Amino acid sequence: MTASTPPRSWQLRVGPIGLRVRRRLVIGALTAVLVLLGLLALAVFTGTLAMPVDRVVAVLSGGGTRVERLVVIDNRLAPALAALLVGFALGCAGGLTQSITRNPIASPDILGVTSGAGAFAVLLITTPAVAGLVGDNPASSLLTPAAIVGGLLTAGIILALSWRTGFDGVRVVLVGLAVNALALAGTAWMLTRTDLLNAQVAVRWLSGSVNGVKIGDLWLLAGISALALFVCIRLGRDVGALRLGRDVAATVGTVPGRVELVALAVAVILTSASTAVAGPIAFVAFVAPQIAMRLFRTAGPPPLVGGLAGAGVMMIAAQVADRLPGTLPVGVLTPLIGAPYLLFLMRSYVRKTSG
Amino acid sequence: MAETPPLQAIDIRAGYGHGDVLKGVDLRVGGGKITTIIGPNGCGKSTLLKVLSRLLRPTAGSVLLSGSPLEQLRTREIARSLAVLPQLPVAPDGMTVAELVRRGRQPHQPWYRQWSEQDERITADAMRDTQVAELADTAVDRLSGGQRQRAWIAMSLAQQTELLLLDEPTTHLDMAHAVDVLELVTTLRDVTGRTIVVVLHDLGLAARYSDDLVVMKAGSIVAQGPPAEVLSEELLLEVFGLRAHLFDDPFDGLPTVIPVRRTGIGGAAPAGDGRGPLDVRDRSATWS
Ligand SMILES: Nc1ncnc2c1ncn2[C@@H]1O[C@H](COP(=O)(O)OP(=O)(O)OP(=O)(O)O)[C@@H](O)[C@H]1O
Ligand SMILES: [Mg+2]
Repeated sequence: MTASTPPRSWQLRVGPIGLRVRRRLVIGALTAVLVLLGLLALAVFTGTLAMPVDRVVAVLSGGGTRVERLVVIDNRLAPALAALLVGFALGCAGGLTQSITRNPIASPDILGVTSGAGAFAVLLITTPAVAGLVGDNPASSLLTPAAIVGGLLTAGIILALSWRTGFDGVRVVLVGLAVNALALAGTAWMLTRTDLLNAQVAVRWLSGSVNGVKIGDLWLLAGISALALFVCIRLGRDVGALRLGRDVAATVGTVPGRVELVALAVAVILTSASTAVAGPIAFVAFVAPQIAMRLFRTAGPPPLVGGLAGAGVMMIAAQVADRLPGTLPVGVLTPLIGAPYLLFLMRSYVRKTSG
Repeated sequence: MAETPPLQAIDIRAGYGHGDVLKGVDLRVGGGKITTIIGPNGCGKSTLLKVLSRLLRPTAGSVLLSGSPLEQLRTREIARSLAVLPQLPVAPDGMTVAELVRRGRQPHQPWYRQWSEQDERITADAMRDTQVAELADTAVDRLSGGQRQRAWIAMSLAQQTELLLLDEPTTHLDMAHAVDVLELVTTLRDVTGRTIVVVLHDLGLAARYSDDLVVMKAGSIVAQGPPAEVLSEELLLEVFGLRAHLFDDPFDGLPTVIPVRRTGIGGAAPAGDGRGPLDVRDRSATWS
């Protein structure tokens, strides 16, 4: 039965480091990275505005005219990198929360962390005193802290309301759904109270877009993503152990509360920082880890390769949005992928529970 | 093998927030013995195992592992000397048997070394001993109940702890596999000197494979000692409400429990035993 199959995993032993990785995961992750690089190249070398390859290369190596730099760096490279980072951050955040709650519905976008961050940013945009400072640059330096504070605050409220004797995945989801609805309602209310110009800025930001993002706006998210990468490697096996349930995790030496708290904090910071860059992007955090789980056949939604899947989903959606007639923001497209999957998940849930 | 760290519970009270489930339990296990906890459903057996392994903090009393209070130990330290298999654990969809069993090595590995030849060997041994080696690459959710149970036992074995707590390790197992598991437990005790605490419902198997029996009722221990001394027809009636004949097995002299039938042909059911017979006809009458 097993004798005929080729080795399913590779072992690696270097000094004190020892690893055992499934072949499918390694090959899959490498393929994913290649695909992402391909998408990045596609975004940089092609576009609605035709430009010869050698001119793009010239710009990338530091030359080119001012207009050429504007097209390649600001209109192509920056949005593509933003899509990559935002997608990675969201996919990774979703993998973390879905793993620790053992619930595919429990991703930061469905639980209201994204809308909470959005609501806070809108509060900022629509407050006359600060709106003047912010201007209409959606990823300005003031929006970032507002979205991060909003995300953390929302997560704190969800946790406080759902905490009884300990962390309870089901209760977190129920409270999160309610908080999400509240944040959306609050955002809508603020929009009706503000003047037309502010509302316009806010609505544009709320629909979720990577256009107009500057390279300089990405450093914070890049740093946070690198930190998340380390945390995911360090806590990977503890997050994996939690998929067996809190009791079993504790019996093999994982401290459930601590791991849940760190994973949750990282997920919330990732979500908030990416919301600050691109506005509230729906469904990527929810759907990316689930795609990765099926693609790489992992036992549970994987945070790291979930991040790769998220980056892929975001970059493809951004490219499609860019090439469609009319200037569609990418946030309008991601629900087209996520919503059908949510329906599919609900359907198999209903079948399981009523069958 | 180092001296077995005994596990001691002192006047434990514990519950789930609505009053105490355990009402003052004292227990000492150790010395490379098999201790079996028996008692009716809901009497607190699983709760006691959870307290002994710090999965549940007691509201009063304390648990000592090698003399140190559990609350002062790190989770990993506990996991290196005490493995516990909870009742009815669930593995995520798609996790293979080998992946599950390999988890048992976690307490012994630093985070940057999650694989070594030694880990691989111990994992393979655990799967061989529980006869799940052929299923190594099969998903746990696609196994039969008994195979699944043995895969989980393999995980606890791979943990290589001196104390092993098993909550109903023979549920879902056929008679032969149940005996296999208990033989394995006996071998672990004899060869490696491990101390094992098991929760069992089969009184016959409990009597046969235990050094000590712990009998629980409604959150308290009502009897404790070698099976031959503890088991009696009066005890079975008092604790389980079970009328049974108890006699020594003619082959090996171990106590054997034969329940007395209360209804039907050949039933020696005397009227007025304090527990009305389960009247099947009554129930079917309400269905029609
Ligand atoms: N997670 C829980 N939350 C609340 N009450 C619980 C919980 N687990 C057990 N109980 C209650 O505690 C009591 C003892 O339960 P426990 O699981 O220890 O029984 P048990 O002796 O293991 O029974 P069984 O033979 O059925 O496994 C029961 O009344 C049960 O309802
Ligand atoms: Mg039990």
